Amino acid sequence: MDRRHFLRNVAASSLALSLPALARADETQSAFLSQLPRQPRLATLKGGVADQQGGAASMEGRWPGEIRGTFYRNGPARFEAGGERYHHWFDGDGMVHAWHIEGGQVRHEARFVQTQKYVEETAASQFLYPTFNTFHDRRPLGSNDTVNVANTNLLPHAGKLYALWEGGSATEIDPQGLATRGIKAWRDDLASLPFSAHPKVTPDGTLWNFGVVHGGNKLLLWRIDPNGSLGKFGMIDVPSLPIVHDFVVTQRYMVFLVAPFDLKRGPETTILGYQTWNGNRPMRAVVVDRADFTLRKVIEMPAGMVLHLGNGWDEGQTVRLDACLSPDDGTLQSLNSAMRGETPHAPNTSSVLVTLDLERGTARTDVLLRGTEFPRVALADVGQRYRQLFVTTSQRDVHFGMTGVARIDVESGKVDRYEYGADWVVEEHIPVPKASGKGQWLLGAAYDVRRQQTVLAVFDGAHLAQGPVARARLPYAAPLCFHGNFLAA
Amino acid sequence: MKTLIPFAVTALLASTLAQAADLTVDVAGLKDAKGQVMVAVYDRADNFLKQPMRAAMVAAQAGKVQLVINDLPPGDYAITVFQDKNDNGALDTNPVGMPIEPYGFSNDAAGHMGPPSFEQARVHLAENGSQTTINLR
Repeated sequence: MDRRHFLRNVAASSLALSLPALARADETQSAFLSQLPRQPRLATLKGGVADQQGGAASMEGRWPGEIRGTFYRNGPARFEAGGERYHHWFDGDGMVHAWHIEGGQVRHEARFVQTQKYVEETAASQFLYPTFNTFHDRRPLGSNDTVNVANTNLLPHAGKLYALWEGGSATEIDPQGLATRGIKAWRDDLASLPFSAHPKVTPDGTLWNFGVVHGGNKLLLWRIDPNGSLGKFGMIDVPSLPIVHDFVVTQRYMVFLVAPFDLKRGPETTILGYQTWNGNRPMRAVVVDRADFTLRKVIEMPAGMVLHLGNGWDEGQTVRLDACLSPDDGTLQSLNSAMRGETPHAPNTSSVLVTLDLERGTARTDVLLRGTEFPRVALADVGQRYRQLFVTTSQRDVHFGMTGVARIDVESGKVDRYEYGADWVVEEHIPVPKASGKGQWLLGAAYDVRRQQTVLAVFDGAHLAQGPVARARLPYAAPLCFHGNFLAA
Repeated sequence: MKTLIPFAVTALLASTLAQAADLTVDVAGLKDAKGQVMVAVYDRADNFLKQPMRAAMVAAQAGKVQLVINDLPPGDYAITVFQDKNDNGALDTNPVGMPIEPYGFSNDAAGHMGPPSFEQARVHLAENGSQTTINLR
């Protein structure tokens, strides 16, 4: 090879090396845009919404006058900046929503959480920091909270409102007007510690939560007392601890289902990229004593992946809980594809009832209903023995998002179900107690694909199959949310 | 013999002065005026973050502060800085070891799940002095 030839090859290969990094993000964007006309359900992942949104809903049917208050929601809403598109749904910056319900009328408002990341990236007109599964390092990180997107849940507790993301601190939001108040430190020396997006509030008003330090194999445990102050903080070592999204609390325990990911970090590894599925390893049920935050038991189960759990209770040496279980991490990975406009996998999660025998160290899994997500139970049932489990449902031939709601009796297995249909992307629905003290309303938003509008529906929780009692329709599409909670007026 | 001593001392002094330069460190991004801004200077990779060759401090003020480290031999250094908000003389961390007071490194170097290396934070001090800016994060 002569020298000129050699130099030409070097130039060509360095071009090839530098191009993928530049082109990758644009590739995500152009793939998404080209697929969008054939994938109208994915319009929910477009992003590009204004900093604030708001409007009055028109009412279809008669809204139950006793449901008065605010339905708080949160979800990622900015997916693109500077011509680059995020690779995973979970990457987006959080936008907090409030559905104000009063006098049978519904009004919606939404604002982006003004996280450090959102503010700096808005000013720079480009992404600067790494996210769940898109790598950028245009500015150095200070702590977990430098990359806190506050995009997963919005929880009222003890008069305060918190936007939550599992990798960092809670972000306090003004319940009136949704302005961002700032990062919450429960105690000065506990700043910047992960406070996950799925706390459980037991009927006495105590908030239980956990956090995972990625790469640290530390499971952090939190108890926030009913008055909103820190009750207890603890930390236990769990070997090979990957991402953990949710848990249940029972009268005596906090229970985590830990998926079998191997953890391998490279120089540009994202949080998701750090996790490599290993189906040869077991899933672990990690049982922690909630009174003193000590490890009670680890029980091995067949490999499986759980994002969401509904509830659990304990009786003697037995713990029972429900979880949305998938055989592997396919669902989580498919949310990468969705950002490229592809929908290769139908959701493959099932609601299961897990029975743990703490004495024998055994676990048993019984399927309740296939194709489910977003399990919720009545507020009064959290940590107690319960029968009614509310979930969203999906159809086998619909490959992105949910299409209906169901109530499962976890004892009899009986299912009461309503299908919105394939032209709807159905968000999490949550039970709201009826004023009579008996039974629940079921409240939730859904995106009407044909009319490109977001609708808030209310069902009689005892009769889902009859369809919604009333629907409040916005004249626009609100970004799809993950999780939320109702605060009664 | 005695007459040689002043000459030797003078020569030593002269050579020291010839090899001494001032390193000006601007620390930016202070959100408040709490406590002191602490600067540590390291001259070797093997004592980086362990044994600084020089340290300096100045009262914090919102925005920016400047420190000048005088009379350093020209060469390569790595600098760490933090705002000791509660004046306890240490960079406070949370229970998993993440800093909870504002800090920074020369070059605005970033590590991966930990501090950067000496090499990443390396700055050069020229014979006629140098200036570097560190942004607190």
